[in-house]
Amino acid sequence: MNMLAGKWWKQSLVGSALLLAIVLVIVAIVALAGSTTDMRILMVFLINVIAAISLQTYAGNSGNISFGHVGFMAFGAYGSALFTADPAIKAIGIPNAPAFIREAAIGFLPAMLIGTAVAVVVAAAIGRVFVRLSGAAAAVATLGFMVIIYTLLSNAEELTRGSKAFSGIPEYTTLGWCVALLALTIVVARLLRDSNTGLGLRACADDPIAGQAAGVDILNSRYVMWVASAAGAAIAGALYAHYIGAILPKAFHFELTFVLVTMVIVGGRSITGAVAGAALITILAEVLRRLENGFSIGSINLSEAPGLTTAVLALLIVATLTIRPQGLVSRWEVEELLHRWQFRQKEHASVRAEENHV
Amino acid sequence: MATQGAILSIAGLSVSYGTVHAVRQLDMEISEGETVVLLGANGAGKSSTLNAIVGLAPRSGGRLVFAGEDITRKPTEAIIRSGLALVPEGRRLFSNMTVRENLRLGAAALSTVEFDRERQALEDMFPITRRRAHEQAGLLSGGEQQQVAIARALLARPKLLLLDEPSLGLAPIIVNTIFEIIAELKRRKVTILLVEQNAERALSIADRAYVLAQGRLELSGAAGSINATTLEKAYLGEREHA
Amino acid sequence: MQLALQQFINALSLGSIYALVALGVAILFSILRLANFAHGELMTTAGFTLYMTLASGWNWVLAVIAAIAASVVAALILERVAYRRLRNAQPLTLLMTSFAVSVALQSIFLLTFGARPKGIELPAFVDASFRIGGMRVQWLDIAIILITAAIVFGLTLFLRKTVIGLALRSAADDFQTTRLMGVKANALFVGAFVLSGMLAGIAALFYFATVPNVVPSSGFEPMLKGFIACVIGGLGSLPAAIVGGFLLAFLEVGSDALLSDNFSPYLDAIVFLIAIVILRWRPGGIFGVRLTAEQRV
Repeated sequence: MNMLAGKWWKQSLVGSALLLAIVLVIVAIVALAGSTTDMRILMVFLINVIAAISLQTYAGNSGNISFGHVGFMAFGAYGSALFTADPAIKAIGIPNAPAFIREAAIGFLPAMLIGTAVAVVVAAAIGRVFVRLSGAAAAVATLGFMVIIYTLLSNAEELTRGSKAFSGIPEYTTLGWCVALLALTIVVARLLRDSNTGLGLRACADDPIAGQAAGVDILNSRYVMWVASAAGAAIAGALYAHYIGAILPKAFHFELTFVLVTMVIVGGRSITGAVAGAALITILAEVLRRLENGFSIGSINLSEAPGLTTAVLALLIVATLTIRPQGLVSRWEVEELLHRWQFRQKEHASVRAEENHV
Repeated sequence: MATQGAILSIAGLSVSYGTVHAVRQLDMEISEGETVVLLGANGAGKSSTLNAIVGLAPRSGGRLVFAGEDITRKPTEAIIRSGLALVPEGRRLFSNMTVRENLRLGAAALSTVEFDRERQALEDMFPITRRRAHEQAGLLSGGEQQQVAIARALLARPKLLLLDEPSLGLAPIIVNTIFEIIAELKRRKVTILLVEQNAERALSIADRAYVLAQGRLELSGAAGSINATTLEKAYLGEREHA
Repeated sequence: MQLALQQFINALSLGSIYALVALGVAILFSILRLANFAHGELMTTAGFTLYMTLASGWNWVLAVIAAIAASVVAALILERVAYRRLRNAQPLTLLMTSFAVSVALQSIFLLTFGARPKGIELPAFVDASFRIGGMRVQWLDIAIILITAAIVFGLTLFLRKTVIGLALRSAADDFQTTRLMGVKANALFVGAFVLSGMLAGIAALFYFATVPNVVPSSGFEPMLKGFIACVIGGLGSLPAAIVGGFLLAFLEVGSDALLSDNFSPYLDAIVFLIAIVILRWRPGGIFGVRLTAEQRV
């Protein structure tokens, strides 16, 4: 599995296809056998996976966490929403917005590209600060960035209706869009990860001195990943806005950050890890939600207990991290996991053969 | 298997870091008042042995009895409190703290009154700890730091002093000072287990010696019985095993 | 001139609160390399305790003691339940754990107290003020500044003169060698959490005296400001945390005074932006502390 030799991107594409195939199987099962609710969960899951993979493109490669990526999601969401919503609705909701926004009614793809472009510009402008930080300082600074975006969105009433919901967003997001953009995200993320930039950056995350001695430019490599991941997050944000149909700044705050970062950390340090983490967290949250509706313990009626799902989810995450700190798949991609599994099978087989021989 | 008078007896000690076996099945014994030297090439497992004795290195097997007490499963701090002291490789003073503060931590279990008494007794032997008491330890020279590190370890009046390469990285003239200090400690009947690269100097001061190669005990005996030839064989012995 | 002086006192008082939060955060970070995002929830614990005790008619002295005790106990529970098992974990895992603990505690507060703000019935003297010239000064601000100064002084003495204080400092420098001095690792962790919990409790008292109602997410804002103070000062150093806290407060009060009222909703965003600009030039904070991620016990 030598990434440095020959056509490294072949393995990336094979791995991407494999991962996508797994996701498609899940999609097919839910689409064929699931209820309407299941479909909604599936859609949110797919959007979250795009966001998680994007975050992972920065976090998994650089070893730095970011709590600020929901800010980029917000850019994608608001950017795309503002240019697609019905001008009649905007005339009432945001009468003071600039005319080019108020009167705009463009298609999904161009609007999404505008939102993504805004996120990329912002990411490129501020990225140099964040790539120089690491560890807890990086976490705190990106959390500060999240608060900055949140404060701006909640107060820019002329543009976003402030902390009130911005509704009337056309519901363009279909399963097809989600799957297509997920495929794109996976392929780009894998290519970035397996490229020299990604490889060098991951080496630096393990041992910065050795990595730099080998000629890796940490800051520039991180910067590339940072900007790319901001673009991915913005796409996820746009999909989200056009799926739910209404957005508000609070949707891009602490809770979403927690969910995304958790998916990435619990999953492990790879693209496959982001998918696995997203799947696990979605399933856990869903099981808890169903329990909450169906049971009551003693005098506490759980359906009237807001916060219980989150509390239990958070505690489960603490438990998962305690038991498996390296994440579900550690740092492996799906095809690497397969190789390792096959290798172990062979080893077992040869051991067994030897035993039989004796 | 503990002999009468043995302050520390090690039986079948193994140390491994994951799949790397640093020390294998080591048996060793130190009697009260003795100065014992542990020799070996780089990577032979000397420091690992010392660290395993105080519980800082992962012990994968064996039994350690110190002053009649089984310390095999005890945490580092309990082992230290039962009367062991280790001067670690590279001295490891708390560089941002003053010399006096470093000493105070060496006697963490003592009261302030007891500390002052012990400190004054030591200051005569290590004048540097008085002269530069309020300076930052990190600003001292290597030799001075080594003296402070030894003084720090002696403050709790250990029953056994473990010294990990005290001459490492020091100028030859400073090495003399350090070996004079060790000789003085020996005269004062401090029990010492010394790890050294400088085999000749170490053997001249020690009562007995153990020689490790590739984590295994290769040779042991009275210090006088070991000469350059036998030592070389033991060092090279690792080749035969490899 | 008078206005400037009044703003100066405001900034000192606000800076005192931030400095106390930052100190509490920095103590755990320097010794354990733990960025405890649940520090804000320790403050919220104190806030709800203050609310409950005062609402049931306790004397304010007892309420204050109860509030500080509650956040110390909460800190000790966190140490025992969540962090003790993770001493050898990767920094990122520790970070996420503390984030999850923070979310879990917020949810538990929500379950217990609901989302509506609980007004804390502060004793009347909190609003008392006096006049110098034409300037009105709140006694509360003076008290906050003086008590914080006393705490910083006391903490300095504790860290310099007592053995456990010295051990906490040496553990921040080199944890393994501190154990070689016979200092119990558990005692260090417990000591650090007790100090951090106490500082959170006291900071919470001051914070809720100025913002007298408490919600489950109350602790988030002061926690974040405390962390940002630490980061712009230099994460891991106690003096840097104090300086960072005051710097942040002066930035905040200064921006508020200089900018027109239109900008005041954006105050946090502006202050954080300035903080980020500072980090652009000094990624290690003003004091440029460089910390190696060495193995902890």
